[in-house]
Amino acid sequence: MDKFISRPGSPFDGVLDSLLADISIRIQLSQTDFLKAVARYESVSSWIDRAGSPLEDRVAVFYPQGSMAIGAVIAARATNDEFDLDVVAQLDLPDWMTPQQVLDLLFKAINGKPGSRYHGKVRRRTRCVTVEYADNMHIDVTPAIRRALTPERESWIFHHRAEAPDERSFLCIANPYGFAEWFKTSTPLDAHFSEAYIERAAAYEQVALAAAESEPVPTQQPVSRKSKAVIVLQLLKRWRNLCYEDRAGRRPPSILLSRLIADAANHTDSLSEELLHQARHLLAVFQTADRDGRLVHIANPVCDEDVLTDRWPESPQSQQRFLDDLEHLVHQLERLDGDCDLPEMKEILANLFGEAPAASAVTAFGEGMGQAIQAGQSQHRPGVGGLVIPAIGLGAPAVTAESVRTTPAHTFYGEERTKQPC
Amino acid sequence: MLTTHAQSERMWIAWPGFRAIHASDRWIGWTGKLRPLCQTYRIRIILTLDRDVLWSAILPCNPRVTVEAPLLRGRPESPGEPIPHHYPNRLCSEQPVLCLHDPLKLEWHPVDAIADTIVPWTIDWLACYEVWLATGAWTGGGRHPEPSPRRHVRRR
Repeated sequence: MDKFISRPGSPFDGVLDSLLADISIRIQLSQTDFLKAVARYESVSSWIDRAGSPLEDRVAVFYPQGSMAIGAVIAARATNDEFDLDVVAQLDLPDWMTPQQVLDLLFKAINGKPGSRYHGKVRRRTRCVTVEYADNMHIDVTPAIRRALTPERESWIFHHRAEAPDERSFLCIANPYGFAEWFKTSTPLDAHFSEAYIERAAAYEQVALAAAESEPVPTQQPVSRKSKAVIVLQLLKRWRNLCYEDRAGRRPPSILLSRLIADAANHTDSLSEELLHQARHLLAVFQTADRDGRLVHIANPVCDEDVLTDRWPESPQSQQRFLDDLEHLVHQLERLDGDCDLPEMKEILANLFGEAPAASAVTAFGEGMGQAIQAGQSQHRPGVGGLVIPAIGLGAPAVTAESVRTTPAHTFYGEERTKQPC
Repeated sequence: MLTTHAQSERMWIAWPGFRAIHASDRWIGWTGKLRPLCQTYRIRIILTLDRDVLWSAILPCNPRVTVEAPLLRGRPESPGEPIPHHYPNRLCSEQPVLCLHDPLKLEWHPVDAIADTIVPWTIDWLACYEVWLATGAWTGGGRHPEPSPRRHVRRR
């Protein structure tokens, strides 16, 4: 059951909070694509289990893991249209099977015969089998075998590099299901915040779909609520993706970021505060490891043997590089937190999260604000002189707090070229 | 027409951070800080008082609002493009006068408290200015006066 924290006030009436929310909406898996992904993974599940499949009646459970399980899926690359989704296929297989046998069997089951549904669209990888779709969505199916007499869904997963047959293959203990449940419990929903976010995301998607379709678009149903921590996780994953876009080698895994963010979640009142708080927390974790002269070692909180840092950082150099990235991130976020005009904010946000989503968020902000001014719905806070950021353009309910006043309607005038003395 | 005392009192209540810089029977002024989005601006407001109330109301830049710091600037991406909705300031060209209301619509009248009109409109203007700097679009709307008809020069 969702746990709620209630707090009055509008979560996106500050410009930075509004821009960060809009950037995260633009990089995340849309509700339409989320539903498409769910339909696809259900289809893959029944395909693996089909009559005549090498794994017929062998799929015990098929469930999302990682970002898909916690609602934090974002575009895999800077281009915004590539999504990697992770699912676990818990298989009823004898425990004497080797990693190579399990992975090969799953590949064979999904790939099927020539001309069948997924044939030629499947790749055998080191720990999973990937189904590739024409629209750049990928579903990574990780085979797992349940470990008897252990907590729910704790399993063996398999490591075998087909392209390096001499390399040692091995089994790892993992519990992605337990991790996702722990993450959700550690990052409880703020009802007010998550409702406002979901409305904002739905409004954006409505506009985006309307622009793409010629037919009227039905209202999208909200799929999942998100906490501040999940949105911050999306933003930090995006920042990480951009940092590592042109670098060779591994990057800090998403599950590691998820673990660290859940550890420090829920100590702030706004999205921008949460982002800065979490960035500082990540920096502190890596600074501590660096000071102690060791690599970070972080495990799944519900399964000590499931080490989240088993493949990254591989060396002090890779850890140092991420530490440098984190220092830069914190410095940039502190600039945003200070006296900073909109062009500077846009530049910093583009640098951290990508040119396209930052530019789109700033443009949408300007349009929403301008519409409110032109409609005589602008609001301000006497005393400090802050503009109250409209919720989602026209028609959105006005803020009714006592500290907020509606600005009388007015028309900007004057011609910049007019040499009119005053 | 609101008296200078009433204007000052209203300013004091709504904008306690503003400081009166002058008050006489001819003009009254304030200076103070506003933070419409995330940048703080120091602005100056001068209200010219005229016995002719109608004339006070239709003066296109009365009250006169200028930004003292940081100075307004153009868009680096578009050199030479003027800042929208301002009047040139003869006394200090670096501090153009903001065009906040349409004098022909009589949106502002000397009976109106500056604290409730001119200051919030300045907030709107500064927010639109930042959006314009960031995107090149002035989204807050407005009206530009029709250009005067060209004088026909009679040729001999």
